[in-house]
Amino acid sequence: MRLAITSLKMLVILFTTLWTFSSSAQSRSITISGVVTDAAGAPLSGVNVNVKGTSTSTSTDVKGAYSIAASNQRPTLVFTFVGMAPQELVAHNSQLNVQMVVAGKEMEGVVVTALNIKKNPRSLGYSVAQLDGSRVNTVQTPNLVNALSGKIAGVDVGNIANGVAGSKRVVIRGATSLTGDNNPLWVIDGVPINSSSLGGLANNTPEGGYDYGDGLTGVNPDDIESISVLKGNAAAALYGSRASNGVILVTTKSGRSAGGKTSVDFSSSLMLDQLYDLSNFQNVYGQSSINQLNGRELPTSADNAKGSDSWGHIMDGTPAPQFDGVVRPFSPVKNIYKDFFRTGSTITNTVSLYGSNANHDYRISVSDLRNKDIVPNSNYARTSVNTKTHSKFGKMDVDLVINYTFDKANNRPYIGGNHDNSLYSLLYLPNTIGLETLKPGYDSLGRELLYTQGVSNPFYVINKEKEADSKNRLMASATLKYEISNWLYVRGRITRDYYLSKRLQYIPDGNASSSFPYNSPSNIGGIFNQRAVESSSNEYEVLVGINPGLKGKFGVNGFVGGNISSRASSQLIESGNTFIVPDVYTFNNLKTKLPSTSESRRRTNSVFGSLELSYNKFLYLTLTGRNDWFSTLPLDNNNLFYPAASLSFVFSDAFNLPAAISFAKFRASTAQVSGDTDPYQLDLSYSLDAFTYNNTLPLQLIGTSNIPNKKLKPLLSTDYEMGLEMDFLQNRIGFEASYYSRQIKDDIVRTGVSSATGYSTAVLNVGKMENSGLELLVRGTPVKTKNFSWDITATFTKNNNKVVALGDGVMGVPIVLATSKSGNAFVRLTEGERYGGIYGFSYTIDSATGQKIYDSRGFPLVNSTAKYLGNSTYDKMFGFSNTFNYKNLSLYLFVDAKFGADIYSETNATAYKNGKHMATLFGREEGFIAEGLNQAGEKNTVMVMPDNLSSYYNQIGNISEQFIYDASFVKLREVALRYRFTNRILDKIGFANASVSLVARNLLTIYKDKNLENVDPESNIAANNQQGIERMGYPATRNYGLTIKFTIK
Amino acid sequence: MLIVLVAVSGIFSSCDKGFKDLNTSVDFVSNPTLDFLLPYVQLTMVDKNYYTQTYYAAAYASQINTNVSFPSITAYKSTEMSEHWVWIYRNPLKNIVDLIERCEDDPSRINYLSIGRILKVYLFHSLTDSYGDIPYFEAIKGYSGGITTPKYDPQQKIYEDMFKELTEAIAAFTPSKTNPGSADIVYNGDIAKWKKFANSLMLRLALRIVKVDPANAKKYAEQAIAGGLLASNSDNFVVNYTTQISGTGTTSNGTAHTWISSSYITTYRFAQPFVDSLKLRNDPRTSVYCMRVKLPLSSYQEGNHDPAVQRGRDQFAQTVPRDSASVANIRTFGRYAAPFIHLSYAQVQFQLAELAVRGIVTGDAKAYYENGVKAAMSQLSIFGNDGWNPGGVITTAQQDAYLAANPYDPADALKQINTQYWIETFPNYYEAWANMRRSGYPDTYSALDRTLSSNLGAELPRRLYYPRDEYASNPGNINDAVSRQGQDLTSTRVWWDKP
Repeated sequence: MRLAITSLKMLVILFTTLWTFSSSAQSRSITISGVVTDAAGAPLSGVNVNVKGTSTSTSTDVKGAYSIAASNQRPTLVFTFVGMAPQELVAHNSQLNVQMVVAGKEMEGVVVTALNIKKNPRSLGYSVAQLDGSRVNTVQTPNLVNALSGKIAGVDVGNIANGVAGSKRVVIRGATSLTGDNNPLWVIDGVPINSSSLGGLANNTPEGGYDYGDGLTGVNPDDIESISVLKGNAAAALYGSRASNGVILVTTKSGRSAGGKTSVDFSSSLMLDQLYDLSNFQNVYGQSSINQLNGRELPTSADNAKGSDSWGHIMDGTPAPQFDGVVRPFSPVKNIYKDFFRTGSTITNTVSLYGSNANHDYRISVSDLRNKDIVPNSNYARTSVNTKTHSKFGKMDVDLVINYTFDKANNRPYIGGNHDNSLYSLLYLPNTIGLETLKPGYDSLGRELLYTQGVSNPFYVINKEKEADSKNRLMASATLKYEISNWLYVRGRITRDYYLSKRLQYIPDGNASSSFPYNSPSNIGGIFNQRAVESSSNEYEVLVGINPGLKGKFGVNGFVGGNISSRASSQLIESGNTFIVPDVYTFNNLKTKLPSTSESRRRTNSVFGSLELSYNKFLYLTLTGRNDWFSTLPLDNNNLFYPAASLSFVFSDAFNLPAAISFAKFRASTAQVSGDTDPYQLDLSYSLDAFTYNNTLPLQLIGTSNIPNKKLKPLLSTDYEMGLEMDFLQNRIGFEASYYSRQIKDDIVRTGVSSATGYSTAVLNVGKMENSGLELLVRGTPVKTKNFSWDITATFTKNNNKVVALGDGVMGVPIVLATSKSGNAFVRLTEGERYGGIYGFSYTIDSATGQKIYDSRGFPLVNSTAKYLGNSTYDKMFGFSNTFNYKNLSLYLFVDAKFGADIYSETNATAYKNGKHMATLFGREEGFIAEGLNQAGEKNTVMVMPDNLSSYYNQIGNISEQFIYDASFVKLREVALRYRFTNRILDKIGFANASVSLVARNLLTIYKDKNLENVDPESNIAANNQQGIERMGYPATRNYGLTIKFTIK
Repeated sequence: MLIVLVAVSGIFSSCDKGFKDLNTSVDFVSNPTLDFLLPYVQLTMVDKNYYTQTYYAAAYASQINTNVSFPSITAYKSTEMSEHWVWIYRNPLKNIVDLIERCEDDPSRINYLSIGRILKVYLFHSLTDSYGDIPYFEAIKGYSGGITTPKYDPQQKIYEDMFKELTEAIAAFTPSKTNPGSADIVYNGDIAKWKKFANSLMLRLALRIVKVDPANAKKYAEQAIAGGLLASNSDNFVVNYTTQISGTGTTSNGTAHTWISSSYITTYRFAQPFVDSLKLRNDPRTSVYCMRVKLPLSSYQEGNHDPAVQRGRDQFAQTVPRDSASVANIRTFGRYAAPFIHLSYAQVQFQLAELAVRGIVTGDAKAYYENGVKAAMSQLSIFGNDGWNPGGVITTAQQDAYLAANPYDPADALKQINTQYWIETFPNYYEAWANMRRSGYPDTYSALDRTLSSNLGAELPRRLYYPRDEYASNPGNINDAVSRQGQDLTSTRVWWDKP
């Protein structure tokens, strides 16, 4: 509180100083005249000329000439013309000639920074990465996030194996929170959106679930003009606590480029998704038979042919009964993955209408996306309408953004180690069972057709089980900016991100895993779950700014403001089980109805301010401060003030450097950001069981499995950053380099705890974590001739993420981030170690000889003390893009590479256990004696007989060490070949602009660990911190397609 | 300018107004009703899932066949093997400890407090008997004590404290103070019965340590007897369940899940030693416990209850086809509304018989034994009220005939008594298995055919593995426990388990 008062005082003093400073300007009237021309020197008529901060305006005549009176000695004149970049110039005398340039070129000179304030990049003392819209919409992806991978130094994009409409992971400069959300804040046209995962895998359990995607699946890449990434605290601090993971600012296209006319853009793309079948399982031995003396005998009856494993007889084609009673040759079935999955497709069409005149511009776009998943019966569709307008009414600027999105998914693929996951079912499917025999997945009574217990029939899942969800989302903002005088303005803004989502899921009666009692004559069973989810995120913001312009060589600008950010979500859940009337899957038709509700509300109130001082346009100092009050923290410990400072020095302007250096800038910054946590974590709460005893006695229990904490306080992240930006040889080659270091303390951590505490997790203020790293971006044009050019952009990132401490003064307890379904591998944070260590059980090794030790059965002995086996986060990332232009043809190649992470593969561990892994072929006929020692230290002589092979490989299946792989990769991520139609052709067909592109994604894995079989290195399934564990995720796909774009004026 | 300052400081002055309400959940309450908490605990004293109890404890106790070889059943299968641990700590124990903490400083709630302490001992003893050294003194203090890494305590210390807790809880009962009445779904607030239950639990614990600490075994057995034990089947600690729907719901019996869920078709069958021991003695309980499945196996339905056709499946080798082996009777144990007996008059009688045989207490072992057998048969009447004739009722004539055919034999008394205990405790698998380990009876492992690879290394397992999660979240303490107790294997014996 005291800090807040101090900060406010500081801002008041600041303001008063500025007031005095700027009002010292004197007033005397002068007249300024001149000629406005275009880049080629031709006069421009109709250019609007305005004396900044006044209503005095005029426009140029047919010769481009103007004349205007100003009361100020050195007035700033603002020149605007449709299609041209507006210019603000100070008239030093009565003559001012102006050359206008086409909008877009000059736009590169403006960077959108925090709170949507546009700044000259020269002034920035911190790293802001800009990405042009064409970099994300040339090769279409349904989720914008995928398109960012590798393109910005310091930004790690996880290509999560959870399907097209699933949520994605982005981490900027390494994890900032030990266990919290590490995804950045996304701000779209000034609207901070709820980009968190919308459920399903958000609290990823090993059993998995549906991934309902994140807030970004609704953004249409075609609408994007540019993306700014604010990486460090200094850049993001003004956004407050939500910015502690960095900020990604998305600016959508506006109508400004229409150049006074009305234009229509069309964009159409088709992408095909094809399974990239990585499976390489043994195809020699078939299904284990059960209920027989020996599982390796051929089944003799249908009931014998119901094993779930593949430890059976050699597949020699001998006729044998199968689970359905039909006798078929005991022979291998091939290509089950290719036959099960289909070719997916995504069709995106966008039409946008835009136009402008001197004071108004608008853009309306309508977009439609239809996706057919590679999982049969699964699809996703999105329709969006985006409107953006800007109007100027005298001193008032009005900006309105309204984006409406409707999206709809059917039968999203089930992700994770659960039998509802098709990949889980297929991983178990013995080689002798053909997919055709499992179709359609149910019998004439609608009961699930099973070949074994505990593994679903994948056709039942896709044909009978149902998932459907839809979401109506509105993101809107209204910004009013009023120029009180030529140096003072006030800006008010309201933004809202709102959605209402409906989700339905049911599993019919007759389903093997949820019908109790199993397939009973009364045919009861079935599960139903329907919910309505409402979420809103509102911001109310007022700021007062000054921008008095230059005073000699000195410049100053700044603002103070306040913000209220409130977020709320509620759910109405109608769930239950047992359908009464067959084949009617509604809530009303349930025998047991279990409705419930949940509600969550939080608010952050803030005051903030910023001041920029500059000297001679080459030295800039920016100071900011912010104080937040969090509703989620205890009242006596709920606020914190945090400052930031940054310096930019364009030394190529300050000194006389060799001519080869076209631009050189040094920057440095330091900043703090605070943060809070989720609501309702302070006290214990009690809930009622869904059932009452004897229909009378209510049953109550502690409703939380998380240990609450009354003593939470805000976390604090502190960083500093230094950077150098240089361009050489008239910008033919240039680089940007940054070094950063960030430390977080008092992090609010949710950690898995011993069940003996009575809970599964605890929320604690512990720990200290450090990130430091290097980022490098190199751009260049190695070849540039009249008809041919070659542009390259390369990014490199090295991040060191270290867990410094997990306790206050005492050695902290390791924090568990993720556990494999088997429990054999887990991702843990340990003091003094790199973030995200994968731990698990290893072989027991004789320390003297290094040999494995075997038990009395001849099985490898498991070392039950969990050992560090690898790390789950990438620490080195490369991106390398090449664009070749030849006349109207351009070829774009983008290579994405990451190194330094490992992955535990549950697919391979399971394949060892069920006998499908290639390695399990060893010893099937003869048995073997494993090479190593026995527990007495002598040579192991125990023979593992073929009958015991399954137990032997099961044992290995529990040795996590065996299934750790290097997850490094080099991939040819994107390829695009574009033809731009020549003006000659365009004139004939009446288009202003047209191009056609052949595009591809994930075409080729250039490098990966050669030992990593059956799965892709990028097979993490969770968008949160549970990285490093592969769990039968969505399969890798290759994507090919075609994009057509054209403009009609 | 002023307006702005006013506006800014306006936001500032109300910087956290309303935050308290905002951060109070509207979905839950912050104060529990003890009369709603207690029945929740009583209903959840049995695991609501079948993983640990059937897959491991029941198979180890040779009561149920789980369709895997011995090497598989003793291999690491962490998630299934930790379900009992997770269930007991996170559900009944967590809530009963909360009830205890809410009553500790409230003299008017002294009877609730004693009930809470007794239930806590019951829950902990089943955990420590199964796993060995476990977190006890620092357990369930995640919220109240801020302990997120509880220490593992030696089983001996846990037993000492459990005796102390029972002694104090019994002494503290005050009939003049409030009792939970109908909120107590077991004894309806009858304090006399609670005392009998607590003394009988003490007797169970006393006998458990008879090999390792005979002095205390004698001391507490005598104390329990003096305090008054369960005196008839109407004193039994029975939880009645009420629902047939939703298998894992709070109001349904978790042990029934084994039979009713999809496992019915291909997994669980009665094990051969169990069915054989019934059939060998022509036990009238055979048809109450067992039924043969009706073929074809396409749905869960009534089978054949004829004792003559009942058959168990060999424990690990599976030479007996599954379809010809028995499952639980759909009218008695094989249903979600089946009651569950946690502690019975019959058990008490068997324990007294053994104590008499061992000369620890005086008394007529034969009479105790016979009382036990009869009570074990009589108590089954509570299972047979599901429209099945003759229900679970076993007549006095049948009981007498059984005893006549299988008379008490002083020369073989311990084997006889503990075999009866084993039959009686079905489906309280944890108790059946613990008593087998302690007493050595029945010995269902010696006779296994050692030439079959599925019987490789088959010896009665002595404990369950600790949950794998403990190595991740509580590494220092579990490593201490392992170094004190011995390797984290199923062959490692717990403190009271002496050869």
